[in-house]
Amino acid sequence: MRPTSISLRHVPLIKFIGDRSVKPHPESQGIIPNGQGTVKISTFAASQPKHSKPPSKSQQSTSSLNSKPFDFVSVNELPKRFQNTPFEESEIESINSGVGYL
Amino acid sequence: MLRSITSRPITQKHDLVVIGGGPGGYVAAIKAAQLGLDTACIEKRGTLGGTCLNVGCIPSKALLNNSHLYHTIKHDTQKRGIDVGDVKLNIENFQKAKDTSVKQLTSGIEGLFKKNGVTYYKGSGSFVDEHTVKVNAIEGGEDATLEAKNIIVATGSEVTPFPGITIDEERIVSSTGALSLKEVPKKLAIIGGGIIGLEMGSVYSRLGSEVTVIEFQGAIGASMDGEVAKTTQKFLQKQGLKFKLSTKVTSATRNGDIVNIEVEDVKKGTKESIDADVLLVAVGRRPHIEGLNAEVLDLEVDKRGRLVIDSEFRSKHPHIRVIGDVTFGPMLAHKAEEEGIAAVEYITEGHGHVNYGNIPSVMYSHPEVAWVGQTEEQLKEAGISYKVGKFPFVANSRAKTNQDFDGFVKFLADAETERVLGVHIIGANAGEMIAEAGLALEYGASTEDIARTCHAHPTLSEAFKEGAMATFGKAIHF
Repeated sequence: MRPTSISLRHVPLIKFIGDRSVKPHPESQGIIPNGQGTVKISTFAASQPKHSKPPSKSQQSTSSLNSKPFDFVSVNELPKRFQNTPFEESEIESINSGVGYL
Repeated sequence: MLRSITSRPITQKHDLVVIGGGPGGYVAAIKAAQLGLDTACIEKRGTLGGTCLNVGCIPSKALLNNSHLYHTIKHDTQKRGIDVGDVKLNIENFQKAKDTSVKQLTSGIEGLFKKNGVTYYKGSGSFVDEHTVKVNAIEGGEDATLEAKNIIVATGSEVTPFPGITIDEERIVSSTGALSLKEVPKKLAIIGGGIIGLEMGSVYSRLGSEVTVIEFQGAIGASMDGEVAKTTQKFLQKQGLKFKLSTKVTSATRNGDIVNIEVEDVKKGTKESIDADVLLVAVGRRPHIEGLNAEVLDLEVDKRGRLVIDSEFRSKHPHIRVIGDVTFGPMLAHKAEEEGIAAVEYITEGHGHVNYGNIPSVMYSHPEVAWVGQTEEQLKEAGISYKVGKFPFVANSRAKTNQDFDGFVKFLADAETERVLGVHIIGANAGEMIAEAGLALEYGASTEDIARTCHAHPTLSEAFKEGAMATFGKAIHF
């Protein structure tokens, strides 16, 4: 015996059987993987400007455009106010009860 | 010996591994789990939701909403018949309210992962080979090696650096720092008249800052319809924001608690010096691929650094798909979400759908600005004949009763068929109203279809209906 939920399962009538060849992404201006106009990621990364290193307190008064480039590797390196705060018990309870806000 | 065995990273197999837990990544992960895939999501921030929930759309909306309330209570109650006493801003609690919203939303996604059975790895994900991703754990996570049949890269974007300007997130800040200022700057300068710059400018202007927006282009508002952008600038100027258009920044230097900004008029070549307590650098965002070790797979980018994919989000390795800010298209959370769903459906069903001609944009200033579809400039360039229908909120009953009637609804419709081609709204609640335009565009509605649909009275949406009406006939109330 088949359960009703299976026997009445909706089968879409539309069949997507169009051309399966690789087409460019609509927002790519015609570029496709392995195609012309692409750049190797390693080549690109080397050419990009980096975030400048924040100066130390003593340097701040003379900080200029020539500071060394620097990237934050981890969020943990940011000032404390940008770091994540641990969950409170009430929040954990809220999560575990299946409450979603989105 | 025992210690070395137990601390060895675990190896797990999954049908799908999503790298990045922002709006694209977490939505993809939940959808995949719902469709029966054994799904994992890797996020290095420590909280889910990506830039949007942590340092983007959500915290900025909290600041925008509460600063608007503050400004209204302080300046706009007398004419409404409400006398209030001394109104003060408590910046600490003001920021705390924002943090509470962010915390509730990000933890809510973690709950959704649990509910849907998505395995959550706290750490940074990097490719080992085509099917293997290594997780370098952050606090609360565990190192792991994941083998996956399918991988979705959703690593998002990061603030574009302004060459030569050092972001210290105290006096010279990015959008991230601007969300967490400890005091209201007396003078705030902003490089960039795009959405982020104008939204943050609105927040601090309402709180009392003297705001100057410096924009290299001749107009603000990025991809806004030209007429709407000009009107927006007019409204913001009325609120006290100053604009320096066609102006380039040649240097910005912090001297103690003051930032000195040197600017130059692009057309005339005249130079000027501006001092500010805080400088916000908001010149855009760029794809975030650092740390992904995508080099090992020889993945490709275009000249803007966006990972190259085809129409089904596939990279050169077909089982590795890419969605969201790190690839083509507008850098918008809702666009990434759509792509997350579609990419998963391509994996599970073989087909998916994102209409890139119908991605709405919203600027949450006051009045709000929202648009979807094509602008007049785009239609002219494409040689498409079109009609314009406009309706001002000053003629809308609800806007009048709200005493909040700046702006208009503008329809662009095909000259022959009256099919909706674009809708541009500036006015209170524009960000909500634009959804109706999106639906009309998706279904290929004509302006007459909208005009013949009954809209509730008295609502702002009646202005939407009358704007549609104005493309083929005359609006009733104007």
